Amino acid sequence: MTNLDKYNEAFINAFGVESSQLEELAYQSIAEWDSVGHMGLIAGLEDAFDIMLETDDIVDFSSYEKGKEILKKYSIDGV
Amino acid sequence: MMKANRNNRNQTEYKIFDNCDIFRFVFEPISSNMYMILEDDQALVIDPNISEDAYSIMRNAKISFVTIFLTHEHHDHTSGVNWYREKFESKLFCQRRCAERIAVPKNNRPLLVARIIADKDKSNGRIEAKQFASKNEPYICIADEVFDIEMEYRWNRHLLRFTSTPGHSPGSCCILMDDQFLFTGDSLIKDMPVITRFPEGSRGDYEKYTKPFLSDINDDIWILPGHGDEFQKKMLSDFDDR
Repeated sequence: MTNLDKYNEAFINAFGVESSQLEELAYQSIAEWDSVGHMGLIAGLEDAFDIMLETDDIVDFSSYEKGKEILKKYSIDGV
Repeated sequence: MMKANRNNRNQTEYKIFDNCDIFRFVFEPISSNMYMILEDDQALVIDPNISEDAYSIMRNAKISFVTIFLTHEHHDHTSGVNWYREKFESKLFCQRRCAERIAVPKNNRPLLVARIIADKDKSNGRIEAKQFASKNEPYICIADEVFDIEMEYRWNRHLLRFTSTPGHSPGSCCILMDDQFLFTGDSLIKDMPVITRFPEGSRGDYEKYTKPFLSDINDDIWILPGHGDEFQKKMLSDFDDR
């Protein structure tokens, strides 16, 4: 499984969305991605990549695309 | 009968029930409740948050020992544990899964609180979320005594019965005091349904274990929840739908 697969899977598991919806996903753009859903997404990503995100980055993690930028700071390439 | 005296500036509330004085301290912005009971030179604290107001009351009462109970492992209910433990001799009790979770720094980050502050920042143009995050580093808490399903504990003249109530989190519990007061944490809140969508939360566990326990609670018991005001089950018109 590639890093992109893992990244996508975290969103799909957290929010029950289809792959085709991912690129447009943003915080609060769907009911499932609220403040509580955000915790599930972050937990899924941290488990998938065995990292611990800084609280600042968790706050900044505002969309599917923004998340890719943030993960690069943790040496997660290919997302 | 119950009387209440609320001091909004300090988010402190002092309640006088029939035979027990219970303080409530609210941790903003997520409005989680810490409860405190003082007797002689001892304090019983449930879900501690950092409160200078509480500390001042404890010092004035010449408290020498603090017994701390946790209703569950989420940051907004544990953030004051170490603050009080640094100031007083103390003992910490919680459910085993809760103890396992709070022993890991990763699990003790103020993520939900920071997220909620960030949401407010967006509407008012402030940057308080980043400031909050920088002041709240991950921590660990070490429990002194744990239980799996149930536990009884006598604190001064009070009998406390702990019952594991998973669902909101795996380490959630309710604490019944003297068959009069039930501290429910986030397993039962007056104005909103229980949230089981957090990581490791489980609607199935809530339905299987926690709802039957709460269904058996006497209607007249005062419920002191993890968020919001106290209530009695008979005040809830939608209990069966939760």
